[in-house]
Amino acid sequence: MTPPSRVDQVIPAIVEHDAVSNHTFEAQRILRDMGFASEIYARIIGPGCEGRVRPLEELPARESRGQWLLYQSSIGSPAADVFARHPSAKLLDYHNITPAPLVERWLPPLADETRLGRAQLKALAPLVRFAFADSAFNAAELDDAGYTRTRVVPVLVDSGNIESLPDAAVLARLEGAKSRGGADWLFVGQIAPHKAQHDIVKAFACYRRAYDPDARLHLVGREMGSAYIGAVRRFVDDLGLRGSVELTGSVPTAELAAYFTVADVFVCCSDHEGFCAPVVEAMHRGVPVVAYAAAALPETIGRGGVLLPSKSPTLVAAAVNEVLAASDLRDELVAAGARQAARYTLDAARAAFRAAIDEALSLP
Amino acid sequence: MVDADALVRDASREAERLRASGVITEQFERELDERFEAAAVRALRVPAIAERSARLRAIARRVVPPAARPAARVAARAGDRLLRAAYSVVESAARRG
Repeated sequence: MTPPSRVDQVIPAIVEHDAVSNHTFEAQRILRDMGFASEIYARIIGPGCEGRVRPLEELPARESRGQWLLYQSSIGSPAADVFARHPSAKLLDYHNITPAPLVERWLPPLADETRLGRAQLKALAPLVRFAFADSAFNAAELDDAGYTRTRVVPVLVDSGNIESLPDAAVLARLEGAKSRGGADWLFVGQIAPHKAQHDIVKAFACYRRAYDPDARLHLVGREMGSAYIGAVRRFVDDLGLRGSVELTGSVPTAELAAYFTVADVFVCCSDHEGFCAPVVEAMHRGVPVVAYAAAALPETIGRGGVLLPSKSPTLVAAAVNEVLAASDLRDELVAAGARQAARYTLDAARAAFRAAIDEALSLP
Repeated sequence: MVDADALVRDASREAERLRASGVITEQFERELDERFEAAAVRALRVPAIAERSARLRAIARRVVPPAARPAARVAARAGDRLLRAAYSVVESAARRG
C-alpha cells in the first residue's frame, strides 16, 4: 500500500480539559513531526478549541491523494458513520466506551449513545486497518469487537498540564485551610455516575467519623448532566458536609495543579475507567493513590498505589488512614507511584504512538 | 519497596476493628447508602419533570395553530398557577392529617 502523505483525525467532540481531546491534539503534533499533513475534524467543537479544529462537514467526502483517517473512539456518534463511509484507509484509537448500565438511570440519552458507540465499534472492525488502545484492558475489548491488529498506546498526557505551576490564589486558599488541620482528599474526573463520586463521599464520611473530623474532600471536574451532580450535592448537604466537600467544576490547569499540590491522597472509587489519566498525574505529582480495583485501574496503577478489592466505605477510609498515618509508608508509596508514572511519560507515549503508526504503515 | 498487598490486608483488619469497636457500624454504612438513594430519587425527579414539560411543549407546538399560541400560552400559565395552588391546598391538608 502507498504510504500516506496526510493522516487526518476524526473525533465526535473536542473540548478543553479533556484527556481524549488533549490526546488528539498531541497525536496531531506527532503526526506532523513525522512529516504527515494532519488536520482534526470534529462534529462538536467546544469553546477554546475553535481555530485549531475543523468542523466535520469540511472533511472532503472523497479521499485526498494519500490520505489516511484516524478515528478517536469514545462514544457513539454520527461522526463514526462519516468515518465508515469515507474511502480513505482507516486507523482507530480506542479510549473505551462506558457500559450503558452504569449511566442508564441518570442519563438515558447518554446510555443510548454508549450503546450506539459499542455497535459502531463492532461495525468498524472490518474496515479498520490497524487500531490503538489506551490500555491492555481496552485492547481486550477491541479483540472482542473483532479487531485483529491492535497495539497499546498510552494516553498522550500533555506535559504542559502535568508540569504546570499551581495558581497562587487557589493555592493560598487551600493552604490556609490546611494550616487549620485535616487531610485533603482529592479526586479528579467528570462528575459522573460511573466515576462514583458518591462512593468517595461515603468513604470520606467514614474517615471523618473514625479518624479526622477536619478532613476535606475536593472533587474536581465538570459535571456530566445535572441529575447526578444534583444528587451528590444533596447527599453532601444531607450529611452536613457542605463545608468540607468542594465540587469545583472544571478548572484551569494551574488551579488543578494547586489541588494536586495540597492533596494528601488521591482516592478513586470509579466503577469504570478505560485508562484514568488523573491517576497518572497524581502519581507523577507525588500524591499517593488509593483506588478501587475496577476496569483498567489495576493496569494503570500497577504497583504504584493501593488497589482495593471492594469499595466498602469503611475499607476505603481505613486504607487512606493506613497510608497517611505512617509517613515512611506514604513515602514508599509516593516513590512507587513515581516509578509507575514514569512508564506513562509523554516521551514514552509518543514513542509508542510513533511505533504504532510505523507498524500500520508497514502492513501490506 | 512498598508491599501494597500487605497494606490492603492491614486496611481490611482495621476496617474490621472499626466495625467491631462500633466506630463505624453496619447501620451507619446502610444509612449512607439510604441517604444517597434518597438524594438520587429527589435529584432524578427534576429532569423527569423537565423532560415531561418539554414533551408537552412539543405536542402543543404541533396541535396549537400559530395564531392561537399567545392566548394558549396565557391560558396554560393560568392553569398552571391554579393547579399549583390546588396542589398546595391538598398537600397542606394531607400534612395536617
